[in-house]
Amino acid sequence: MKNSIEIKNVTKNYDNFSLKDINLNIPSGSIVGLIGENGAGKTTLIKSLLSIVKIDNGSIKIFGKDIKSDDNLIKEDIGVVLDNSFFPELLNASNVSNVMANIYKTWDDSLYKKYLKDFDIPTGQAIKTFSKGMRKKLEIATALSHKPKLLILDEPTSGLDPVVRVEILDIFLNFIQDEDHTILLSTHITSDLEHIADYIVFIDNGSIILNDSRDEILDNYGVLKVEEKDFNKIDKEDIIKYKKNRYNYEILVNNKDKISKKYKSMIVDKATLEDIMVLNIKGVK
Amino acid sequence: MKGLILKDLLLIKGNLRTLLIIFFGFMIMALNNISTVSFIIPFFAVMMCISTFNYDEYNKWNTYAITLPGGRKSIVQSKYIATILLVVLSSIVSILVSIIIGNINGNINYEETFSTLFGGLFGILLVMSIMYPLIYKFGNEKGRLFLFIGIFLITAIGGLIFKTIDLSGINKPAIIDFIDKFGLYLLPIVSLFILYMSYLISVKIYKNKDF
Repeated sequence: MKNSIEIKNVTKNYDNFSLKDINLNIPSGSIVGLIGENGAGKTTLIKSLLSIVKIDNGSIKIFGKDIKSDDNLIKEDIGVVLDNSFFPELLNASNVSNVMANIYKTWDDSLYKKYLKDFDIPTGQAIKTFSKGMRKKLEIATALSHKPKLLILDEPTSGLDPVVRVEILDIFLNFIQDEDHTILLSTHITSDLEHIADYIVFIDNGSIILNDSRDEILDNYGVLKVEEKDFNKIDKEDIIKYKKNRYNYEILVNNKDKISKKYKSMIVDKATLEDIMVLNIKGVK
Repeated sequence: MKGLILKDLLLIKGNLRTLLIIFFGFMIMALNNISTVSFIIPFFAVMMCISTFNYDEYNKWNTYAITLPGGRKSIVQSKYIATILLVVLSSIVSILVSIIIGNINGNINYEETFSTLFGGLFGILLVMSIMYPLIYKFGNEKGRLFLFIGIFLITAIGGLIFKTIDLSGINKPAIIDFIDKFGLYLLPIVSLFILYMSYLISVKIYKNKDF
């Protein structure tokens, strides 16, 4: 399978945080979800891909080309939605199109207008009058209208109501119909990813701690909620992480079918991405 | 790059009403004595350009702009070009207004008008040349603070130099003579040189910056 993005040994150091030796391939034709707490390094990783920040070590290739030498060529084919970063809000949606038509060779004004119409976004009104959902939809319309092959989206659905979120996820699913198209999106709304992502990358404290297909993860991981006396019966090597609650223990396990058979008296639930994330971060070994 | 220049011009157009008010204010002042105020239109044009940094910063435009094809250099380039474009345009407007008013009043001193305009332009370009790299380096707020410190230092050092010349008894009239004769021709060359240096410094700062 071809990779849209290849990240090798990428390191980025800040005073109080660093992205440590990241290795990651994003296969073409897939939706990859980047999850992790606030401050885990999702945005730093995305900024590194787009050379908004300079990496200290390692290499990044997009469409097989190095981002340091072929930056311009690569960026013609990427659509971007960033968290809180867009055109000055004094401008309006049709200004955005005027500007972008002079930036992207492949800018398609009629496609842009179609998106705006579908999203109910007024063209002549300053962006500052828009609601958060309208802004996000405008940003997404802008990211799609030069017909990119790759979408890189930092928190595209945060702060949006469920109706708008479903609408936006639909757009992403539609985009990915083309086999050449790829989406990398970061989010902390993990339930969104359970619907659309093919792969999940879990980043914590600057390192990738989990990178697997969504189905693999959701089929294998399980959660046991047990009382103390049962907790003591479970072999330590079966526990990935556990969390002691007020009345019970929550235990994250892998290979849940095997665990179900081994501990017949206990109930093993499917783990959601949220369970995996919370227990990995808050749990202990 | 064309797109980025357009973006700044559109932003300034958004403030057109303010510009027009200033323009009419200028006309009223100009009716009285055009020669002393001929640099005001270009001055406000540059202020408008500087204000675009505010809007950029507020919506983190720079971070977004870097994700667009064109590269970091073109972002800085377009800022300088947009400003120069407006300075040239506003100077032309200023000259036209001066001529029109001069003809109405019949008492215009062209030499004084143009030397005020050129002197003013030099000051404007100097401020811009210092300010832009400072804004790129330190951001808007701090950049402005450093500008004031910079202007203070320049004035202080300049004053000191003249004072030293004064005390050292160098032939002062010769210097003044020189400035009198060639100042008007030197001014554009010096301005353009400083502007170009400023541009190079801004590009260097911007290329190495993390957003």
